[in-house]
Amino acid sequence: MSEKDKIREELKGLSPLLSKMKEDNGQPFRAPEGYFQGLPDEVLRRARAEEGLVRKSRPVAQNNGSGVGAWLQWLWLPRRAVGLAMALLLAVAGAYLFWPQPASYSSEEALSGISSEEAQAYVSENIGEFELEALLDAAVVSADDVPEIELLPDVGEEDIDRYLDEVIDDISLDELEELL
Amino acid sequence: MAAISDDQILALLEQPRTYERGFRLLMEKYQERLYWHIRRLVYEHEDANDVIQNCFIKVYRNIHKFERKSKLYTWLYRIAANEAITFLKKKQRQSTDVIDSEPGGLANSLRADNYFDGDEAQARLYRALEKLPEKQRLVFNMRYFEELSYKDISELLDTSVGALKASYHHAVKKIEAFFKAEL
Repeated sequence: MSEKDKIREELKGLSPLLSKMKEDNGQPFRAPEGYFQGLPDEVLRRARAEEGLVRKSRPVAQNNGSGVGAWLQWLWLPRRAVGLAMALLLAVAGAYLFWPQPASYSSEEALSGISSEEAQAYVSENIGEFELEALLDAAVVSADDVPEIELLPDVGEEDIDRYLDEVIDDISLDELEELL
Repeated sequence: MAAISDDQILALLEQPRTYERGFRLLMEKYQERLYWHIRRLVYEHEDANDVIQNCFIKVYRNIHKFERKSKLYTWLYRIAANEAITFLKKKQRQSTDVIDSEPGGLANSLRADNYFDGDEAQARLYRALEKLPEKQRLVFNMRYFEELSYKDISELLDTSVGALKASYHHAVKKIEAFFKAEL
């Protein structure tokens, strides 16, 4: 007995009324003539309109290793490639913004391990490198420690002329031009 | 010419160059079975046409998700059944006219369908079917109209054979009771 015969026997046992109905009546529904011939074209037209031609390139998932190539091909479709590029760009920007930066530290922190004696020794050895103002600001040298020097105390013009007369012979012509 | 196998169709669908040819062959192989299955659920041709087109557009977009864990027809059938049930629920929600808001509304609309040639008894059968719960109706249609084995139905609906037998027997009894009540 075939499967279909079994099904009909089962129905006859369950409901003779429905069994007879099935035997007496065929398919009550009809489809328009030529409907199935035109259906693939109609579906493809709609699918193309909705999805564009990109979708045609999408491969079927495979259950073995040979699907990797097809997957890569699918990945490199223009729309996905643009998406991938955007994702990479965002990842790089995110890493730049949120990656832990090396901690910056102040000159005070940098010098914290140096004793004041070591610092003073360094300054003494390299005194020529420092401006007087910086030394005063850093209180390395007190303003009181700097003697007031009177370069030309009570010197009048006559004294200068006399001095120049005394040393004029020792001054070259070029030096004299620079002075005058 | 021998019928093309599912493996041959799927091989064509793997390549962009042959995708469209593969899709056409898939439709040609399965469209009629799916159409009649949908048509017996939604009744009118125009509705069945909408549902089957939506179904195949989903297949077109998602064939790459088919993992070959089941038969291709099983996968297609599930999409079609889901699409038909979604359509029926949407139609029920949107139904505002008198005919569709009455019990048996879909079956009553068969009278206006140019592509329904059934007699009064058959119209009554479809009115009775409309009263069945969705899943029971699916089981009845597959056993009564499509004459599928319980094993095949079990695979399609992911339900045990025992539960399907019980469901079909209940459906037959309910329909018979509906007929007797109308006489």
